[in-house]
Amino acid sequence: MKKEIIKRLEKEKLDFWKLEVAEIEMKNIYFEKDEEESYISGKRTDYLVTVYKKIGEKIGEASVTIKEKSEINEKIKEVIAAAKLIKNPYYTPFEKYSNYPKLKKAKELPSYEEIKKKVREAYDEIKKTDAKLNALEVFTKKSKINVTTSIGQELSEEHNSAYAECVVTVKGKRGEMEYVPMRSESNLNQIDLRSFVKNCYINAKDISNSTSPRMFRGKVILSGDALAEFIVPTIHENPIIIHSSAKMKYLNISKLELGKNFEKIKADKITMKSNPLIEGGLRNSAFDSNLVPARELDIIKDGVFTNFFASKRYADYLKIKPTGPLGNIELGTGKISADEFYKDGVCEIVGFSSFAPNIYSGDFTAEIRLGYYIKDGKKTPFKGGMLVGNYFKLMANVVLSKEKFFKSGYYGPKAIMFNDAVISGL
Amino acid sequence: MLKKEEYKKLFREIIRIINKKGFYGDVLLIDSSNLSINRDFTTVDISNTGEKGVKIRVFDEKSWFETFATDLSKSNLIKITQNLVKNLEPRKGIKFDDEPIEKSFADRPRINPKKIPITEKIAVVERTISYLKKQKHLKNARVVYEEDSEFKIFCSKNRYLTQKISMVSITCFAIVQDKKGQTRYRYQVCFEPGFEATKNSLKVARMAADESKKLIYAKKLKPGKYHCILDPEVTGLLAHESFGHGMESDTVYKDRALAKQWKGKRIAADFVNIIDDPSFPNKHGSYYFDDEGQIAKPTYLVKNGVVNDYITEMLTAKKLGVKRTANGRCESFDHKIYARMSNTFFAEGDNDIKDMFKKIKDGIYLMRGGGGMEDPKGWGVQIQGLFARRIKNGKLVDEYYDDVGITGYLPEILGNIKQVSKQFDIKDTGHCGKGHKEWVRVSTGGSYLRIDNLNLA
Repeated sequence: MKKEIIKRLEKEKLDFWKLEVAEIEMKNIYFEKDEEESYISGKRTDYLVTVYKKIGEKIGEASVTIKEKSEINEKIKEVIAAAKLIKNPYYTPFEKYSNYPKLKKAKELPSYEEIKKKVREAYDEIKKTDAKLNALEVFTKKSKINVTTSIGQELSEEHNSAYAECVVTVKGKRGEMEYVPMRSESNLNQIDLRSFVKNCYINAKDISNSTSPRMFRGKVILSGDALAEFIVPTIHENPIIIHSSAKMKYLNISKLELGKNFEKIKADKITMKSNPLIEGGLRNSAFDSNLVPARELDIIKDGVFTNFFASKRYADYLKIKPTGPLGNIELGTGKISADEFYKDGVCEIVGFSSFAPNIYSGDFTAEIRLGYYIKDGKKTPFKGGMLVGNYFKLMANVVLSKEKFFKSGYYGPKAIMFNDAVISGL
Repeated sequence: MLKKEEYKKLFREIIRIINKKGFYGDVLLIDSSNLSINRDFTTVDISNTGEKGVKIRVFDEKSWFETFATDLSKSNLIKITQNLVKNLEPRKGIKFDDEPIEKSFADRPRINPKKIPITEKIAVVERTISYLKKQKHLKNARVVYEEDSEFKIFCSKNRYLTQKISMVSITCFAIVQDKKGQTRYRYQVCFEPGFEATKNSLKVARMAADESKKLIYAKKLKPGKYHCILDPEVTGLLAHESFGHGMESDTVYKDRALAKQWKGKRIAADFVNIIDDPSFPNKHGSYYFDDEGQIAKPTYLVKNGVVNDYITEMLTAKKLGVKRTANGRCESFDHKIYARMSNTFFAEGDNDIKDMFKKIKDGIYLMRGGGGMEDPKGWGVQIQGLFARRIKNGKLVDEYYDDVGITGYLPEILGNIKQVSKQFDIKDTGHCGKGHKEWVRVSTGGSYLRIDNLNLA
């Protein structure tokens, strides 16, 4: 089908066109309680065509999915007609680049039996405790992305990814409670399912013995799942990354100014970078959708906003260089050990229910799934209440640990501590 | 591309291969499209994306074994079915039975969007953004026209069902800078099955623009307990995120739901009813049958204040020995089917909204949906991103708050519902995840509620 689409596109008098083909193979296993509930495996191929039409000083652009061979002609005709109706400021969609970074080829997916064996080992691990592993889902994926453009470029890259999610319940003073973590990595070997469920057990146990939080204002440590979610939220990018996009600048929405602090800095000067080329990184890629090569990019360096990340279109609009794809998010480490954070009167949050900040204002209220009060060297767990604040302000008054940790696209300190944060109690 | 009758013949053949080995099996074809026109002050993006694929499932009386494909040729689908059943043998366990039904369903939008030329769709978006451009207080704005169509075929030994769903929405985002220099936005949406949704595009733009003016002076709410009125978008979120997720049968089966201990018990006053209804006509969460071929009907999750029926998919309904409801849904043909909500809402009460406001001396009016996350085991409530306005002596005053969150223990919150309005509205579009994945379309809305001592931050 790819050849036929290209042949058809070449016949048209287009200024530019692009065909993206994604071939995806998946093997997913779902356990409920101790029973295998489902196993899904299969392959899919998706075709996305984008066409560009120059109209005077403007450019029209439109995209379409082609689902079947029989609709190639009709869909291409439709998408060209749509592009002709659009008049965006002109930019050059594609240029020739060299020096593309080389990513490793994706590995074949593990077999059904191999995945099932790892799942069984996780169940055996939980059997050593007083908890129940009520669900475990393990997904593995291999994808191949191929992009062909009208300027004679054709690039491919392959990726593996793996995802695990479990539900552990355990009884404590508060009754039976659960912890439900998830983890995405670039392959299943990076997720040790036994320690994944064991850590989940520890957290579930603490939740089952937790109290309700009271109103708190002071130093708050973020670690574990909460820290990874705070820097690399599951749904959107974090507000600093959102505001550092060239698109946001062009739309007059970004509050960041190059060469200036991202906010009035009161503690450690953070460094935040995008890195799509980390060995084994979940968010690795060699090029973006306009085939701009990937590279490391300092976004905030020592508290100062240093670079917009920019697609080809918005880079042209702002007259800056395109940066390639956004990758894994690295947060620079600090100078002191995380152990020094844990002092009397400090709170720690290790899990949010969900962290979904307002990406424009940076304000957020995030319910706490598991946190701790620290007093007399002891940690007392609590569940509930909300961490309330503004992303920019909190990140401008933060202390970073020197120890490192990575999870689901986050690479950075093992723990960070906000000097002045508010937890709304119950 | 196969014709409708050819699909029927092919899917029946697939089912015969599965049944021949003694298994229950089903086939689901999903063909979906989304036309999106996305306009801000300077640029416009247009895309027509979608997917078409088939899910084939086999049940060996204990587990589901599934495969999927986008290569819909007869030879490929027969081959992957044969591969799927090749190494399976029936194990003695759960058996599924379904009444024979063969039926086709289709939305009948007042104005069929497929018959409207693209130029007219772009013109609506241009008119709407032009209005917003004239609003001097806006930093930027966004108008999004979305036209979705969804065609599904479900086939099992006894059932052959087809449904065609049409959805059009126009959403306006108004973006402002507040007095502290923070960027903030409000949005309004109009949803209908057909192009008639666009008739209100200027009204929707005006509402978003007017509301965004209030954001400029909006404050942060001091955390604490407040007497509140919740608008339908917020009550819809409360019904959905805080309660509905805990009534999903797979969640219950996994011992994740506190609702199990509350089933048959009172959780709210007897005037409180929470319903999930995929058969509610023409809403964003509506459908005629679910992805396991169950015909859509309403389910009372809370009936007269008492925790009532779960929403279910096939397998956990059997395992729990509860009623099957039409809530087996998947994000796509390559995703698993789980028990999912559709249109979930607090049903109408007897009170006039004006009288409900009169009961509040000093309180907060919570409005406009934000987001939320479920906690079915702990029944902790998290709803965030709400817009709020002060109520004083029963009247709304010009004091606004942005990014307000609700937290607390669900039975306490439901127990504090004092009044439910007779005014009822489901207008919003939304997507619901199971945790952070498995997105399906749903709606938010319902009645207004008056709740005392609500924990806000």
